[in-house]
Formats: sequence, C-alpha cells, structure tokens
Amino acid sequence: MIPWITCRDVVDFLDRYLAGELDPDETARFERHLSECPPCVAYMHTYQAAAVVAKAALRDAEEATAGVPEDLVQAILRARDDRS
Amino acid sequence: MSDPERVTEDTEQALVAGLKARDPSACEAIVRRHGPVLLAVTRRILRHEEDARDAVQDAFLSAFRSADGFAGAARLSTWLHRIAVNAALMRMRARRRRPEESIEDLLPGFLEDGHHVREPDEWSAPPEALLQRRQNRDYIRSCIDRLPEDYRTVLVLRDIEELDTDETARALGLTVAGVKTRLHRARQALRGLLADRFEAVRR
Repeated sequence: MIPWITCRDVVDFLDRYLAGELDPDETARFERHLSECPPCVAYMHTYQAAAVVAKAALRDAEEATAGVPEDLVQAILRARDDRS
Repeated sequence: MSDPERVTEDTEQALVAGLKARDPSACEAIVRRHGPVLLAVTRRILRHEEDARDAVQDAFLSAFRSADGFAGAARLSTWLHRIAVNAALMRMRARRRRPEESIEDLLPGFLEDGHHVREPDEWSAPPEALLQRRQNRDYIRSCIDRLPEDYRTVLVLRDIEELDTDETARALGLTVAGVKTRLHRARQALRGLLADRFEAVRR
C-alpha cells in the first residue's frame, strides 16, 4: 500500500524530483500525484519557467549595455601600475 | 583563409602569455575585452553601480597578481568569471544589508490537509513569449530584486552565473545541502512573485 502524498510534499520535494534524486518508490508516488493534480503540474511548469525567465531577463539587461566606462579601464590600469 | 575560431584562440593565447609576462598592453587588452562581461556579472550580484565597478577593479587586480596560477586548462574567460564572482561576494559581505522581506512570506502557503491555499495555474504564455515584452523583463528583474539577499545570491550564482552546487557552496561558505535548500526556496519565492502577474486570468 503506497501512502498518498500531498500538494505540499510535491512542492517540498520538487527540486529533488526534477534532479532525479528521489528513489523509485518516491518517484512513483510523486508521479501518481501529478497525474491526478493539474495545479501541481502547473506549479512544476511555472517553477521551471521561473528559472528560465530569470536568466534571460538578467542577462538581457546587462549584456545589452556592454562596454566598460573608460574611466574604469583607466582606474584599473593605474591601480595595476601602482602595485607593480 | 581566415578562421574566426582560430583567430580568437590565437588571440587568447597571446593575451595569456602577455598576462603571465606582466605585459601592460596585454593587461589593457584583457580589461577591454573581458571587462564588459565581468561588469555585467558584478552588477548582477551587487545591484549597485559603484560596488560593481569596485569589484571589477578588485577582480582584475587579483587576476594580474595571480596570473601565474592560471593553469591554462580553463578558458581565460571562465577563470576571470570565477574571480569576478568572488570579488563581488567579498564586496557584498563587507557592506551593510538592506532591509528585506522574509523568505517565509514569499513561499507558497498550504492548508492543514496539504492542499495549496492558492491553487497554482499555468501562466498565460510560454517563457519566450513573456520575455518579448520589455515590461515583463523589467517585472522579472524587480521580482528577483525582492528576494532576500541570501536567497537571491544563490539563485544568481546557480541559475544565472551557472556555477555548480559545489562551487556555489565553496564561494558562499555553505554546505551543499544548504545551497540546494536555498536555491529551491529562492525559486519557489520567485515563482510565486512572477505568478502574480503571469498566471492565466481565471474565469
């Protein structure tokens, strides 16, 4: 008899499930819950989407404005000369 | 015949040789070539322009000092990236903390029977579509900014800077289990904040 797991358990163990770290029995219980619980499936999808959009949004902002201000370049080179 | 890959590799080897020989023009070329990416890294971690610039300067000076330690097995860009992450973390430890929300308040709530207090729903569009709009990208960044610093830092190192769990644990002085827990909570909190705007409107 496999005990039921709750939505809370799904959220708590989601990272380990996605990383393939649950044992086969735990995985089976996890997937049985998902097969019957659309909100938890939505949670899993949007949990993964959060990481995807976070990366894209942070990289986009700062690498688009590429370049190092000239005064910073000069400050680094001066500091290097001072110490060498 | 020109091969762009080859040219880049030759340039990189020349820069590394110049770095080890403490050649000023090689050092300048390295600052100009790799500075933009390093500044982006320290900005993402520190979110403060002056601190980010100081950290980039720390990083380059540290790289120039420890040039002999660069084995050449790693790419120059990868080596510099790690140095910049560490320089930014040093600056972060030195500065005063900002007031922040508690992570508990940002985590999902559950009823006594283990059901969600607020049932999660799919988002109104897939990530690529959401990312098309500038307002959405700004909103995503503002949500990341709302994460408590200990959690935000782990999220940035693992999901954005792509350090692995071991590297992140070493850089932050945490256990591997501690990094995993913080990353999971940071992602949960971020998911919740993003859902406020991106969840499909319910009828």
